[in-house]
Amino acid sequence: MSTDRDTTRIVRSWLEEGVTALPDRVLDAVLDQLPTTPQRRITWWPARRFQNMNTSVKLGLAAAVVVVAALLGFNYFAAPNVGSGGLDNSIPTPTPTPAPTATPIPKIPDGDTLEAGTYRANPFIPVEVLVNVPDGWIGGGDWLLFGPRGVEPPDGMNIRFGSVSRVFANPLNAQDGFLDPPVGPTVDDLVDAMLSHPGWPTSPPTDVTIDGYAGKVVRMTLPPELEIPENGFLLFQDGQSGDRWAFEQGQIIDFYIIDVDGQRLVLELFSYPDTPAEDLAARQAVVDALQLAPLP
Amino acid sequence: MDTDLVIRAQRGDEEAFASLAVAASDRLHAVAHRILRDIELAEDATQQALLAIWRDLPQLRDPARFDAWSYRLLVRACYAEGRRERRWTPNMRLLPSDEPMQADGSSAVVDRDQLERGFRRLSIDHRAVVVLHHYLDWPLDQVAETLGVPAGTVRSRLHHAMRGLRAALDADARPTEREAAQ
Repeated sequence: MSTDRDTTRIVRSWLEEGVTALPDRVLDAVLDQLPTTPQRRITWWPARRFQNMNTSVKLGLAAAVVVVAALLGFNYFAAPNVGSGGLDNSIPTPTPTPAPTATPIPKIPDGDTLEAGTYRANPFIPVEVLVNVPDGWIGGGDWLLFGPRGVEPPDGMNIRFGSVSRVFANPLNAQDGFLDPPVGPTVDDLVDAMLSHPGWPTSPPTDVTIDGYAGKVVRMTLPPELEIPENGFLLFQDGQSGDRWAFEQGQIIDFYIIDVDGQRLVLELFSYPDTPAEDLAARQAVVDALQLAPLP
Repeated sequence: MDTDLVIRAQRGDEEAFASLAVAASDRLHAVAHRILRDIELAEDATQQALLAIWRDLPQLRDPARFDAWSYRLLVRACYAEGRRERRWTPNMRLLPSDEPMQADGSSAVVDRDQLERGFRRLSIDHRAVVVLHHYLDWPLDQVAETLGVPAGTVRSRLHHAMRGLRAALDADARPTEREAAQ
């Protein structure tokens, strides 16, 4: 058996191997794009200013922005929000924007530690999802949020946004294809498929309502002794045929399956037995405060 | 690193940025390749990182921190490339190695093969911590600052990653069933 020191020595030696030089063509491609790639300039509203202000100052500044916008005659608040389905897009966000108007709600960025604010998630179906994210969470792309400790064991967590088009027949082997006949389009269809799936260790569903839309919550707990293959514990394909899977023994996944005016929204919430209760409570608050609306 | 070049590039001087990019590109690419374990993905990530550096350079408050900041943008680009790869092609498998297995696990060839497999099983989050700490030799607090996560998270990720790599090496050291039966 290797010692920790052996492992470190071998890993360091192994990392020394491999390419270092970037081909000239790649560098040339970058330099060719400079003239058409504008730089983002520092503005009068510094990028991180909001994060360092206390709540009353933030509220005051947000109010001032609204007043300035009104005085300048912008009709932002009077005009219907394109594609918003009636959701309130005027919530101030920490996005660094110089314009003295309410800013558009940004998508969840990829790889960034987020400042508290409202972000737009992409569930790959025509449903608008607005998320109020606490400070210090991590964006994983517009369909994925990580908690402040990441998503990895022993104490991480996340929220993934999406839908379900097809469910893997065998979570341990993609070659077995998908459930046949396919899962129907309703919340109950998917819940029934999850509960009757021979490979899914699920608990009975509970009812839930988010932003006025009803649905069910199904919990899956991967057994601690489960041998998870390299491809992970395969779950389903989302609305754009992207595969979704779990990946860790003991992982807890809460599936929120919500009917948004006929569109089936599915949230996957990963956590572990050691994820702190306060983190889970914060995540629950995020889910409870989701703003949902169907899109045309 | 020449801070004057950084300041000039911040003001939109493309020649100054080209000098910075030439100086930084190899080291960025080396890190990207070690995180992603794929030449094409690493080239794409490095290209995206260099463009992001150009785009966001005016917002870098301290030009002396250019190197550390550039790694942060590179790791973000690696996340993007890695997630795209993993999300859309999760069924990619490493084929079994043709190298002969050695029961004592001491072969460098076998170590490399097993490490490669073990490393590819790690998430990009874990790989980035391993590479920044064990390849660039950065202390964990610097890794945490660069990745924008708490130091405890970095320690946890490093522990998890090294445990996985050690398990990969140990798995190779165990005799196969056939060897054990002989």
